[in-house]
Amino acid sequence: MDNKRTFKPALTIVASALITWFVASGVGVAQSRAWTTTIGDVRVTCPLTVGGSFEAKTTALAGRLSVDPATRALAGELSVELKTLDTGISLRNQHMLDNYLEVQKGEDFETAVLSNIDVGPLTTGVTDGHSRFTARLRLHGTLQAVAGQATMSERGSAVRVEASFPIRISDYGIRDPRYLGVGVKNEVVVRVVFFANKDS
Amino acid sequence: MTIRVCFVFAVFGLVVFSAGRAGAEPRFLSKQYNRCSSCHYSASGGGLLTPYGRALSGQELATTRHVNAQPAPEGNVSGEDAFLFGALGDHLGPVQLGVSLLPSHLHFASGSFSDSRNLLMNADVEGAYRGHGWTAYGEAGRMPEIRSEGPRLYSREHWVSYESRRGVGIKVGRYMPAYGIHFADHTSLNRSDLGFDHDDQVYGVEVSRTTDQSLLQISVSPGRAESIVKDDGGTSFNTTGRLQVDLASNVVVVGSGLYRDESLLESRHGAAGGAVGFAPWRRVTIWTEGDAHIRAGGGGTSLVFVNETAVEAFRGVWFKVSPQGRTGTDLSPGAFRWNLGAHVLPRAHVDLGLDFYFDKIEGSDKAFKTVLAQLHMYL
Repeated sequence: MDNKRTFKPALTIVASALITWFVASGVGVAQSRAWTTTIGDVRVTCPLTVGGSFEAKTTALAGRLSVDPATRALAGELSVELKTLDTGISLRNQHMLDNYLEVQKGEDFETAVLSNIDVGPLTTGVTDGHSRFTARLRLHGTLQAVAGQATMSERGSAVRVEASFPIRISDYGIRDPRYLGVGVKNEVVVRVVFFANKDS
Repeated sequence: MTIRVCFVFAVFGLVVFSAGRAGAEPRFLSKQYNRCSSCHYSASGGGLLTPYGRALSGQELATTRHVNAQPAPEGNVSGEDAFLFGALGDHLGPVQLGVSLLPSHLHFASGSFSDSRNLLMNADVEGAYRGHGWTAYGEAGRMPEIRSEGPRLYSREHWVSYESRRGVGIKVGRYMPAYGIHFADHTSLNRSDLGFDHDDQVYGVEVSRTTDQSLLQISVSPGRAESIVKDDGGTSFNTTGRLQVDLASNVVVVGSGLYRDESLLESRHGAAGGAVGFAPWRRVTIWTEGDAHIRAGGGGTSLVFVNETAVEAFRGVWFKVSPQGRTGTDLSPGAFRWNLGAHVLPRAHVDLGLDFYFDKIEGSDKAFKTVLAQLHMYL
């Protein structure tokens, strides 16, 4: 009986946290029916060696996530089609995709995949709060652990979910991005943002 | 020319259209360039393009060239993008050169008065060497006719700088001190009352700190360069400070301050202000700056507002609208300006510009209209 009392609220919190991830992928489990994704995007902030920065953006976020009863991590994965990344100008796009991400090399290079996603314990409430975020990122054919922060906030009937984490591009075997004296620093920040609406 | 027209000339600095230093393009914030230093050797913008800036001009900005057609090879600029269309090959080594020519036609009218003139605003040779954190920079060319002075040979900028790997920099020499937004139109009201539209460089020392998200520049100087060279009595202590914070790759906030001590020619004066740059879409840039220009000796305080909204309608075809205003003081009337402009960049390093200025002076019924056509060739 005691076990049931302590387990139930904990399960509620974890399940609610997972729902926010489900909405990014349109998962077909029972809880996800209460949510609909409206907007989603991925932004990679790339600081320049000469100062300032640019962003590579895409809205091509896809994947499926589900509850893994054996662990706190989510089963499934989120993926980004790298060819859809846009830096605002074609010269930069071409160099990023062809010379550094090398998307022409095959499937493992065409997409970036987040798996083993763990949003950890939420500090406040179900859909409003911060938590530590860990996952594994496959990029440029290389798998590495990543860690950062996730934030969820109520926006009327919707929930805004944002997760961000830094990565070192050299860890993924990507050569030093540099063109005519202007380069991207080794550490870039990946940010995933999406909105979800509660279904009635 | 009537006294009133002369006065309007003086207020708007129209006689110094001929003294411009073209090149700074804050409109490229819409392409996620929130710092001048990607494309220019000077962190304050304008002047000689870096190899990256040269490549970008040809590969990305020009209407009739596309990156997929002939991308610049890694490590050097070649072909149309390069100095003199690559005629010198690699013979210059790490030294970069550029030639800037700016033939222009100016027409202005107010009431029954009108006049036109053809100008060669710029004819400069610019050179730079950069390596191991050091940059040596110099320009030499023809100073166009300004007021009663005839054209002459001079060096607009020459300086040496060093920037450490931690982003701490120092610059010594003759340079443009950083203040506010360095619009391509040097007659913008945010700068014209500060001596930044003409005779504007100083001899001095600038220290800077660059990070991923901010740029701080502080300059101290014994006076404006031309006053020092000519010993005209206008020499006085100058200091400026400018802090730029990049809130995002398309959102920039800038705060600036200036103090200029009393000289034999001018009373003590200064300015302080802020600016915001925002690129809501990839082809639209909106800059807005507000300043207070403060002048001692009964000069009073004038509030200045400048907005510039630039839209790239088609690759290399830009339109801009720029409302500008300045409140009057006891010594000078207020003014309001509409500036409409169109710029076409058909090929690498060629910029065709057409600007229309509609100026109204406080207390005057008549408007002052100016049309400026420019061809900027950067070889």
